[in-house]
Amino acid sequence: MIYQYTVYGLRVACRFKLSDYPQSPTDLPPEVVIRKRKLQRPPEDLPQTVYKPYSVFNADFYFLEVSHIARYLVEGSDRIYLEKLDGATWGDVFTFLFDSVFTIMLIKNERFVFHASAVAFGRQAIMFCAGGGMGKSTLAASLAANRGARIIEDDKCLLQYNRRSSAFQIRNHFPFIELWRPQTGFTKKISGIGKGRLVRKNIAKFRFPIDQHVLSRATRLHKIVLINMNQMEDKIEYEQLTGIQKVQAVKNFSHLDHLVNALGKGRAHFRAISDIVKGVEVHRVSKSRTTKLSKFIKFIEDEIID
Amino acid sequence: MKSLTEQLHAMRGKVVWMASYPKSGNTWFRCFMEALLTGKVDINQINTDGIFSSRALFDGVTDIDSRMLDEEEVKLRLAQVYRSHLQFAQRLEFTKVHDAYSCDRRGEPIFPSDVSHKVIYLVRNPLDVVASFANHNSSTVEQAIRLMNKPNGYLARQKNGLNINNQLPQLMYSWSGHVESWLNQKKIEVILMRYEDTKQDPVGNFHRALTEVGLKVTKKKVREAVALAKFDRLKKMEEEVGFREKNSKVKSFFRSGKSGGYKDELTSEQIKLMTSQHRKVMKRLRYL
Repeated sequence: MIYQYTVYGLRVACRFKLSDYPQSPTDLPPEVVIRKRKLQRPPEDLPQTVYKPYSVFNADFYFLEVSHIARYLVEGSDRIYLEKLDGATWGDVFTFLFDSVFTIMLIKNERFVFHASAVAFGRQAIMFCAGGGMGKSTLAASLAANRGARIIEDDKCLLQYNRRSSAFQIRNHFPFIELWRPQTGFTKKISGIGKGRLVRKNIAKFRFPIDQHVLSRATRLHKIVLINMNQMEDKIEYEQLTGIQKVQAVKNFSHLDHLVNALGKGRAHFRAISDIVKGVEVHRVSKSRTTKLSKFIKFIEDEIID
Repeated sequence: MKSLTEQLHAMRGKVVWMASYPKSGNTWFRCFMEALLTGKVDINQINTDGIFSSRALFDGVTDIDSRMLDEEEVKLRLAQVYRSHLQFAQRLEFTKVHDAYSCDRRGEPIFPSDVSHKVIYLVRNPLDVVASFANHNSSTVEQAIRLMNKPNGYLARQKNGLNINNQLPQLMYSWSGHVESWLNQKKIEVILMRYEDTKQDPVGNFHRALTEVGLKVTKKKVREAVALAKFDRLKKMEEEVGFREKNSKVKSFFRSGKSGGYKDELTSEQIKLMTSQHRKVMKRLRYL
């Protein structure tokens, strides 16, 4: 039995189910195959290779060990191998597969996902780029619950160029939103959100299906909002970026941006970002560590959405 | 004599842990180091080398999102994360720590001794820590005492599996447990700095700490840095521009900085409760 999926536009095939990720059968051949296999950390003396405590990589492969959970190997641009370690569940294995490992596979295919959430207001999309824990998902859920926005993505966004409209577009690829327990209340006010379940045991993050909520069509990207942490006490700063500033700033928000060069995709990455920022507004908003999320969301609503 | 920058560069690959229970002078020491290294102090730009519990550093080294790991899974990786981080350091690092010295479930210390140069352990009379800690956490004095007496006290730990903080959870034990965990361990050499001694003779004590770390700095330089990192200046700076490390619920981070201020802030019952709980360690540190 072969299971087929489309992950951020890549046709993926494997002989096992990828948790609750929806299948998408097709007659076309797969672009990526995932297999189970015993894996070992690569030897220590490979040329032009980066060695980190839990990962080893170069332009040809990327190896990741999440100790006590799984080992993963991305080979070339079309193979992923994984090994579940004793004591872990398959749910644990897929959690990290859908995070770092798929991002690496996408980079290898020159598809650079942003660490971002995105929402649509009518025919225009706004993408909110931020690191982990900055409130990307909460912001998207809040805008959907209180301002009538449609959630597109909540953690990683893939932009695609549309020749007809000569613009970059965004559509939903990962049909879930993941919210920490205190933020789950938003889902009651959003139409088309399914029942949530824990992402991992002992981690109070819930995954809600949003396939009934998201639009099937792509939406034109109108604004990119970069969210940073500033060094001030409870102060929100805001500016609109122009020119080369836009490229430099947006580049840093590619998911796992720090690995791109070592994976041999530095040039392609720079080109892709330069193309993306040409036709969109780029705004930078920074908040301090002590700024309350509710205050920050209100600021975004007042200054950027309106 | 080699410049301080040259000396620090020559010792790269190792770390000095600036360990303390909260509100015991760690920020003061970091400001002093900043003044010594750069000739100025901006409390919102202290360029010592971060905090041990930094989630960003952990995620950058492991290539995974630590919010998806539980506390024990994080602990199992901490030592390795620091070993790896220090491979690329350009100088001897000074890293702030509020964690107690503890081990993961395999019995391995979370602080890797092979890359630890020394630990500067900063300690302050727990009776003075109480009111300051209550202010810091926006809690009552009773709550602060309860946390300081709790055998498994934590900082930045969120209940029921929430991992939203930008710092990893830090196991501190009780105040006594924290002190003993660092002073009793034998793997990393400890330089003990009592807040009260430093308050009385900042130049002498900061100079001693640097000398014991193995750095040669003139007393004149230390004196200049001490002047720049004076408590009143830091407090004034906070009043003027704010301090990003402050809890948003409280008025100020830098409060009085006094030694012995507890006499006006704690009731005799509260003093009794603290001293009975921490008598042994307070005696060891000459607070009783």
